[in-house]
Amino acid sequence: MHTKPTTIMPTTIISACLILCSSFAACTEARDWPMFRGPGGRSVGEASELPQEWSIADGKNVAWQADLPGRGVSGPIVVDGKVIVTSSSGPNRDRLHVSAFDATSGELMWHRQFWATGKSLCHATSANAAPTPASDGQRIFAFYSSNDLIALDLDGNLLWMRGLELDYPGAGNALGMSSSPVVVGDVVVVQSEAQGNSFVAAIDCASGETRWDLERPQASNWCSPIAIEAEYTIDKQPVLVLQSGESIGLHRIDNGETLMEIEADCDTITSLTFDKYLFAPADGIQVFDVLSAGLDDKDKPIWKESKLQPGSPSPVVANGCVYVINRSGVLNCGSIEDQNVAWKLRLGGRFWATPILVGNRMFCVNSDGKCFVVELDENGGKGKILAENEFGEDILGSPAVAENGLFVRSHNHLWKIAK
Amino acid sequence: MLRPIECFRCLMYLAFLAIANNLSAATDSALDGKLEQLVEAVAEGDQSTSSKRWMAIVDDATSEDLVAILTAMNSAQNVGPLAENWIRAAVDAVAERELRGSGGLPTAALEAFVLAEDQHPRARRVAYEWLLKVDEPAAARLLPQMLDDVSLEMRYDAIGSLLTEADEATDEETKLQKYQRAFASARDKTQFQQAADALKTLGQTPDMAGQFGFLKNWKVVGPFDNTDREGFDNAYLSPNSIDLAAEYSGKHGPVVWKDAVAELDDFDDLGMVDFNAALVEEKSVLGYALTTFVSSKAQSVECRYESKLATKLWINGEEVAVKNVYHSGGGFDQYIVPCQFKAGANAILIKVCQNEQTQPWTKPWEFRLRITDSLGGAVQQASAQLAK
Repeated sequence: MHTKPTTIMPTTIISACLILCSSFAACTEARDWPMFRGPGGRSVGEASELPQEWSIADGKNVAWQADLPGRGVSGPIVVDGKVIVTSSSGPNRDRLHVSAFDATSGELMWHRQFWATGKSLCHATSANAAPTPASDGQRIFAFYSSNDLIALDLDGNLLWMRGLELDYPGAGNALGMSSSPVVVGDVVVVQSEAQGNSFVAAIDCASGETRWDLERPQASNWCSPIAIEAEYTIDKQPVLVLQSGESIGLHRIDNGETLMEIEADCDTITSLTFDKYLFAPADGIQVFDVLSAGLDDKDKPIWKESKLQPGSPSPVVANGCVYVINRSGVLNCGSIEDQNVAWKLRLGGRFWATPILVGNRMFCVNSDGKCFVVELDENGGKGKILAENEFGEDILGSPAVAENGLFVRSHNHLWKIAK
Repeated sequence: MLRPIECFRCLMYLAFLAIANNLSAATDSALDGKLEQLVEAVAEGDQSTSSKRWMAIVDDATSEDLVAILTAMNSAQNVGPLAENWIRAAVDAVAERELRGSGGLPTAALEAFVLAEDQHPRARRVAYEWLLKVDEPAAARLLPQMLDDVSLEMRYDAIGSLLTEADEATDEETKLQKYQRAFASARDKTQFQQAADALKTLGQTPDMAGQFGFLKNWKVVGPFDNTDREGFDNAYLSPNSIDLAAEYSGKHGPVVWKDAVAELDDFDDLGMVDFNAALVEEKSVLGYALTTFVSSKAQSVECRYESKLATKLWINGEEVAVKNVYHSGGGFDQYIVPCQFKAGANAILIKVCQNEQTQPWTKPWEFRLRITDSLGGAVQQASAQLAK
């Protein structure tokens, strides 16, 4: 059942008085990395001392390496001392895996397998295990291109399972889906958009029941939803932000109702980022001040920079800058205050993984498995490459930072990089 | 006279029956109907109760209960793939814990279960994978018997092993026999190609399209207008009464049925019917393709087809598939449509719509279609006389 939301124009939410925080945190430990791009979806991690150089070949600064089954372009998440990784395998890509490793030792703690109930076809570079799982701190929500959503507790016990293509026939496509779920309050939200059928569903974390769902544009879209911790004057709830090819929608989390619709020609691969402002990959980067702009101007970009063209990785926002890696493997830094491109730094290669920022160091892993460690200048000067580290395998999943380590997965391996 | 391998299978199956009977008595008390209750809860869509029952099974079961849990996959399959997954997850949770605790699993019971062809193919595969964790040599023992297994995962591994043997064989006759065997039994496209390529290097001319069941000879008509993708729902001809001598009103004038032959040589495009070549290379158009499949009897088959374009499919005038999707990827057996064939001639009609996109990768206007059994093996046509 779809619930068609009532669209409320920006002027009608004047009294809503959004108070948007700079990050959204589910009920996870601060040291956790509970979802795609980490806490708040900001790609910013905390670690006291990550190494800038390591060697897979001789084990230098490699705390451990673990084998993974099949293939996967999802990112690892870290919850309560466990690293959770999804994979898919089999000649028809229909075997789904969830593996949990001890973050300290790398020991495989448990491994669960399932059969896909939906489409398992995907592009040769991708995998059924493309969406990064999410966690509310007590449960793991593993989502797959086949629209299978599996909830497990942290010990690997099966809590519930939804085959969403059974509920939404025609969903998914033969290229594969990759939108990662997000936990908002007590629901996990999944976004699945393709020509055959498109939906967003908010599913009760505890029961697995659908709280509400939305019809979405019938077009392919691989972007992930994000949540913004927000406060209405009425019911003080987080806001769900959904991106599609033609717009960005802000929605109530309790019923999916549209609060604001921003028309923008958005990218359908690169996901938007929130940090005080919404940074949308749309004809470059468009920045929207949905918090404090004039009441009639919330849907107008406060900055539009066509020279900041992101490739597949999402933008990262920190220190008054927005960082994007373009299709040519060049890291671009845009100054939010000056509204210009401050500098460019050629890294090299093609990137799928979104870079992550720890302190003043950005870790950028290209698809060939080379990780560039870039030092960012606190005064806005051009960043510089401190080190280039080879993993020696294709890497498409975004890394995680937690437990004083950098967790990186290829199709076949998971590494913890730590001193 | 039974061959040694058949004797071995008989013995293993008898052992399985004995073990299963013993386990059944044991597990009846240990699991106390919990497996049936779990399947019931899943069938009712009650996730919370399903989880509670699942945990009760996992808590109570020991390694001696694994076969009973695996056997529950038979009733789970009647409920659907979600129920199968609940059962599978229970097997994995129990086996993982027991293996970690005691270091062992009931190998004889698992091996017998793998060989029990009346058990659910997926359950047999799960049993096989756990067996290998404690008895890796079991693969070499079991796989040679599974070249035609109904579990496609077992068959995949068996064919893979056979192809390796063929690659490593030193005499040409042995190679030839093994590759021919793999070619006949493979259901996976990559393995099929590997066998076909090897046979070609040995001077053979394998009928790749025929072995796969691709339909080779078609009649096509078009182009019809698909501006703004509106042609998808426009009926330019009646699927129930097709006259091959008829003239239709096409996008640019009258059009008539023409012959088109599927690709038979290039493996990547094997079975593909190319409208661009048969009609005209144009955007915002659509075409129809028609063929006849002569079935030896009334039977259930699968119509498996692939197209990156919007399609509709009719069998004997009945619409059986509607896919309004353009350029969102394709893939081998992209669509699997269960169909009922009558004895004699069956008309297969497909409508393939090209849209307005102009990127180079949107140029192909094509499809391929094969008729198979439920395991993907080609259903062969009866003699043409039956069609009359």
